[in-house]
Amino acid sequence: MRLQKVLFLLLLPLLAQFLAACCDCLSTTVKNLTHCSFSISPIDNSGAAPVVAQSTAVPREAFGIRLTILLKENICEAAPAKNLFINSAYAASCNCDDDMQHTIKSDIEEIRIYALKDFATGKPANTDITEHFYVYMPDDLKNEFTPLTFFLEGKQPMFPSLNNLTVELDMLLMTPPTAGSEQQFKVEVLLSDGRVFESETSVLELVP
Amino acid sequence: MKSLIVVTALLLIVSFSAQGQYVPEPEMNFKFRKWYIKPAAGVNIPLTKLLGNEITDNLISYDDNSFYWQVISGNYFFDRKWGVELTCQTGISDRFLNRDKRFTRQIEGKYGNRFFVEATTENDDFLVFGDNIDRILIGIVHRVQKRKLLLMPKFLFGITPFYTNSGEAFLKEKGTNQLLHLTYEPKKVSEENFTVAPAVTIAYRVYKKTMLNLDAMYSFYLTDFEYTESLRNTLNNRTQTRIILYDKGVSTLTVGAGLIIEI
Repeated sequence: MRLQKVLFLLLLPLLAQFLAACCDCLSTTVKNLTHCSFSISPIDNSGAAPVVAQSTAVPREAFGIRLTILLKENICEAAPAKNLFINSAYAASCNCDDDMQHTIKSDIEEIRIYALKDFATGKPANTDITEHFYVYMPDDLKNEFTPLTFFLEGKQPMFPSLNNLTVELDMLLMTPPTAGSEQQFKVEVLLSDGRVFESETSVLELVP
Repeated sequence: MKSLIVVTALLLIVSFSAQGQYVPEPEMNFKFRKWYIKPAAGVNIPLTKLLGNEITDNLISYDDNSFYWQVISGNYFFDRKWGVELTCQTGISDRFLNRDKRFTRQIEGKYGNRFFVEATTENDDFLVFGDNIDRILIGIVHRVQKRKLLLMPKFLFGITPFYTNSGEAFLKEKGTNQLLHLTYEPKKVSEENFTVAPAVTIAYRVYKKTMLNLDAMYSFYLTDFEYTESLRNTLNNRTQTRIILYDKGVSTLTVGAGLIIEI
């Protein structure tokens, strides 16, 4: 009887670890991401889906600007904890964290779009025309266009996956210019860490 | 409704005239059995149609023209001449198999000149044979049996349930940034559809406890549901709506054949 008690006490830690041991979780990789560079391209949305315009002439009713932001990473790895007794293959507890996690150092605070040429009556060259651009997110449950001025309230445009750290945002011009077909646009992206990205399109012909 | 009354009256006339000709024969070859099992199959022929040529027809689990087979059907005779019947029929229609494609095609036909169409429905994709039209009927049966012939006029009532699903499509205008959201939502759905169905079965005995039979049934029910078609501009949320009504009296002639097995 005493021998049984001694054996039980000896095996108690083993039993405890059997119940609490973790699976051999993949090491968690934490990516610290930051917005590093961006570019803009005119888009032609006259087809079923928007595509980068192949020429400087774009239908004005189907015009938009694609904002492409590239995020870059610093990787730090957290080493997995080792178990004393139990091989992870026999583990009973398998609550692994995601093997890839990320944090983004900066947010996009604001996107501004300027017409560099006369756009419409009352909107001469160098006017902020952000209000005329809208974003449509297909996975948005409301299924509606959101004005670019409200789009960043409470959410950030996301990259497709940690293997593809490119954010693409199609901003569609929903009010075509009336002051002339020759147009040029400037896009400013303001980040929460104070940086400002700025880029201009080439001179475009927004044709009827 | 008039046709329902006429058919019922005709069946009763047939029933009573047959009864009038019936002379009881003390030396009957066959007993009056209490239980019948009635496997059968046949066709449903619409006398009035529920479906028109609306896009929403593809969202209703129903077809005016269909085949049926009797999953469960039987009679219990509590009297030599009177009994009750329970019949459960399952309808089969190949129309279900490509209704999603037809839904998209009809929207493309209506809007395809101006828009790129991307349509989806809530229809069940897992149907293999398209069997989704059910009918459950119970009622009273009158039995007239003479030699090898059996005549059973009956009056049945029950339900003809079917489902109404929703569907939607995104219409991207060609050459512009405009995007419209087209939705079809069912409203005021009555899924049971109370049905009255006078019917008659004529059978000929081919074996001691087995008969070949022909069934004819007239069924009638009222539907009262509707679909709301909404076409919304996703930019300014301006919406046009249209109501598609399905308030009809649906009359169907069901003709089939099968066996009557006495127990």
